[in-house]
Amino acid sequence: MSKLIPFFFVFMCYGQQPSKEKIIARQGQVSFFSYTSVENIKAENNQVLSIIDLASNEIAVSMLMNAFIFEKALMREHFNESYIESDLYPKATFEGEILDFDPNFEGEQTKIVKGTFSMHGVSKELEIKTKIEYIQGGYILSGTFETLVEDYNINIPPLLRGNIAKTISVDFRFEYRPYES
Amino acid sequence: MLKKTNTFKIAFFLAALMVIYLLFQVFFKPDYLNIAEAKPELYLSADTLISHFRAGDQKFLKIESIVEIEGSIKEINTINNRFTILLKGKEHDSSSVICDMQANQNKYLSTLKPKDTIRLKGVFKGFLKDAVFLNCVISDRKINE
Repeated sequence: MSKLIPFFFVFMCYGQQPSKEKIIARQGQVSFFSYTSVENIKAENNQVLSIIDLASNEIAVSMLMNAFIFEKALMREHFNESYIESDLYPKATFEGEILDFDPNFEGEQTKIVKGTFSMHGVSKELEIKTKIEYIQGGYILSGTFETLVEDYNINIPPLLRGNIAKTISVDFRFEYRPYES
Repeated sequence: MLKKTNTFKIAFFLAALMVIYLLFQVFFKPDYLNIAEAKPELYLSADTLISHFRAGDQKFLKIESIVEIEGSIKEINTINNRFTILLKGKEHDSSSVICDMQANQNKYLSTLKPKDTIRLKGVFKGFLKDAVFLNCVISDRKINE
């Protein structure tokens, strides 16, 4: 973890030096789905930030929790005010590494991204199977994983427990371009 | 007596309809904000907004406030099948203002191009590397007004 610190310091300072070794996705998409017999809930965030350092294969992701778009206004209100408490925990982050990733391979690869996902004040280690496609001048990373609501200390009132699945399915897709300073 | 009962039944029926309508409004209201009609809480240039956040002034702008932003278009894209306009900050500044446009603004997509100066209105969601605005519309107010 300690070797990640310099990279994330640069990330937090918005990197003043141009680097061909870094790629950025400013409009990454993260969506989640909750399927229950009572109702299905889907939300998506289309402004998720991610930076990859191709020299070290380190990846950082940051998203604003209040930027999720829901089908119904009431779902968004419950999500932000009662479950995620986005005023107290405005961001979710992921910091990790793409294992055995070869940035020079100009094709499709499937790799494991391993790191720490932090949301609602709770950090969990995750390993996510990720498809990596090389495109002209950049990469597309996409994948799906499942996570448990209870892992993130999210309190759901007993009355609404039937409306929200215990396991949430998360999809992501990031289009990376060369990092501009 | 019969007239009184009928009046009561009609009143009850209307009240029940009203309750159903209100419940429907609360539980099934789409997640849509009529931003075109909303009055902005603040008028800002993209430069000013980005400069404040780059200087670490994270509390400069209240989350969820409706803001009108004027700036030069850096990029227009349809990533994630959404119409998005990016406004640029100062020269050599990699941060920008990301405006996720409302679906009814797609008609303007072909009329805009990079370097145009534009005025947008949207809901401020926060700052990552860029300032993020959702539910954006092109403001009716003329430039220099």
